[in-house]
Amino acid sequence: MRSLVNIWFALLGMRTNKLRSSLTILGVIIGVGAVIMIVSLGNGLRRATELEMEAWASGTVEVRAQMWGPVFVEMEAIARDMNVVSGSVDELRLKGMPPTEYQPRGLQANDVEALRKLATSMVEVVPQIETYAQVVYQGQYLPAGNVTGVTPEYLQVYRSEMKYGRFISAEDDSTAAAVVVLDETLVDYAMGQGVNPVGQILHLTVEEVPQNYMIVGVVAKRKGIQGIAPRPVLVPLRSAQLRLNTGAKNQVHLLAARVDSRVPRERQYAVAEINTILRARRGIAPGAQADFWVQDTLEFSEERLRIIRTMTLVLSLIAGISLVVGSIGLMNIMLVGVAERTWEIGLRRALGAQRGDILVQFLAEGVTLALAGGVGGLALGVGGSYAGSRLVTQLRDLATLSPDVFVIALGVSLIVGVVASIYPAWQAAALPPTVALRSG
Amino acid sequence: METREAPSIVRMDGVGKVYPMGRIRVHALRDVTLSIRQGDFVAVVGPSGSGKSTLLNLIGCLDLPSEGTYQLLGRNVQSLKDNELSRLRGEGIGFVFQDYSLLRRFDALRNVELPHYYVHGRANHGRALQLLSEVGLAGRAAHKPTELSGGEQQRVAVARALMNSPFLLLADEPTGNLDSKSGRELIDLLQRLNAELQLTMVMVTHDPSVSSRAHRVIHLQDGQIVDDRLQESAGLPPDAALGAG
Repeated sequence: MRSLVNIWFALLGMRTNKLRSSLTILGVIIGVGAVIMIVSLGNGLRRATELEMEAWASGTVEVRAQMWGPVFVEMEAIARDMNVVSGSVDELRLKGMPPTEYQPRGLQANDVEALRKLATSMVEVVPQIETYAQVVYQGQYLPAGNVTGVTPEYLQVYRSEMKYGRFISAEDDSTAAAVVVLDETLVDYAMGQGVNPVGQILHLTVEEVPQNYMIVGVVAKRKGIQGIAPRPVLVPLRSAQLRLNTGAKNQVHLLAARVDSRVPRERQYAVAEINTILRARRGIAPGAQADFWVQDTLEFSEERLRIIRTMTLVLSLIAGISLVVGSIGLMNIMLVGVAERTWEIGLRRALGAQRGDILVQFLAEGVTLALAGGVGGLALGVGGSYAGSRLVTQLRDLATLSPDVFVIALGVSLIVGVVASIYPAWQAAALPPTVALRSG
Repeated sequence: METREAPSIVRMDGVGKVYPMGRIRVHALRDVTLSIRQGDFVAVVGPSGSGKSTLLNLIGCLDLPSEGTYQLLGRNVQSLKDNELSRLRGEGIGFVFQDYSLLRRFDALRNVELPHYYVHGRANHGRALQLLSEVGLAGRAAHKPTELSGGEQQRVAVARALMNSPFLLLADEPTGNLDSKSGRELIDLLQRLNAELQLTMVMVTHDPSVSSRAHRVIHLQDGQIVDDRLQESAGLPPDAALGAG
């Protein structure tokens, strides 16, 4: 009750010097606003990066077979034996040397089975074939060259959803059906926004022989993707192996496994588990070089996120300088206010005010000014970051309104208020009543 | 006089007050011994710098003596903590200052209520309005000090001093800033309060027409009491007192 009265006195005190109070508040507004702008744009940047990384790699762990390197060296050695100085795989093939028997093993259906049965750290795994073909739709080349052969698990592994039609079914895969599923980004770009091409025919041209495929579905576009998605054209895995002449009749190029954890340690465990299972199944001796790579696609994005976090922190610190300037202004004004109202303090003390009353009154004044600055700064920061994300192309749609921004605004301004006014308030409370009265 | 037999409110024994002024120590008061009883109307007079205000500050517990003992209502003031002194001032002592000392941003009502906030933590409009009407300002409760004349402002200050029903009212040159008519009216008011409420009053003044209205005049010089006498003519209007002299 007593404190409430003192807070009321503080509010009345502020009203008498509106211009000074407003300027003080402005200082805090700019400080808090700057911090919030940086934090909210930083959060946005981080979120955008997360979305982008998830959109491209979807947070999968990828296993990639070694398709060249040691193999090529091996062939080079053979070529030297055969008095062929050197040459690429194609040159060797042209010279009539069948490279098939030297081809690496790639990844096989058995590997997929082993992972599905033994690995506990992953949700699902999808084998993939990556190949190239010219994509022709209604006589026009579509701006997409890579065609990916996948199994129905693709949707689950890449957390994707259908926009139109259906996805590749198990039956499509086992019968190597001539069906194709497109990504919405490709459809939007090449056929126009909102066009539903399901049921249309598409040509995939491999070695100048066009093949007819029926479009059975469109995968919905993912948030964060700019331009055309990384896997715009999907066909059944078996179709890719058998029809698209990939030279890998029983092999796959890539396994993508979904690991649902975002905890780095759990993801490292998943990578280690995949390594162990595949090395055992493929009979690779301990210590020997594996003929495959396991890579956590999130690792790269984690690194990027770390950089963004550091950047945000550094920028926040710089923005924090303006907050410090604002709070010094507040402290200065509070000191001036105490000096100016020394007489009033003496009078209040003569009329029965205790030191605590005076302390609370001036503390409340400082905290109220700072909180007003905090609320204003919140408005400025949120408004500013939204304006920034609309006006500046590089920052487009980056602003995010997260609850921590409110906590920062109010918490920081509360701290600023207390820190900046505790000393002036203490000074006011410590004034002896007679000294204070004499100053009038 | 029956007031002589009343209990002693203020009792000072060998009180001195020393202020350090740089390297020298200045005795503002020296060996002051006095007793003020309930219902007394005391005027403290003397040339400026004689220690009048210092004495009043000591009596009002705004400052503590550096020598001697001071008992207020039988309690040793020097042994009280700062918060207890604040409480004692708020509950028991009313102050009236030369410059009225009203808060400009508060209207008359809030100014009168101010001591009540500090003692009881809440407003008391009823009592404040009643006091304002007692000092003749019934219709001025909502006026700010700047909208009141000097005499009216000083009467608001008197109402404020009475807010918590004090046992002691201290006035430091209450008529110093007032014209003679307003000053006379204010002293009439103080005298009436003294008579009706048996309110003990100590008033610092250098105006003989004001001090002549007190029951008792204490004369200070160089920090020491040089004269302390009762006045026969006390209570009469100044013209009558002059006539009688």
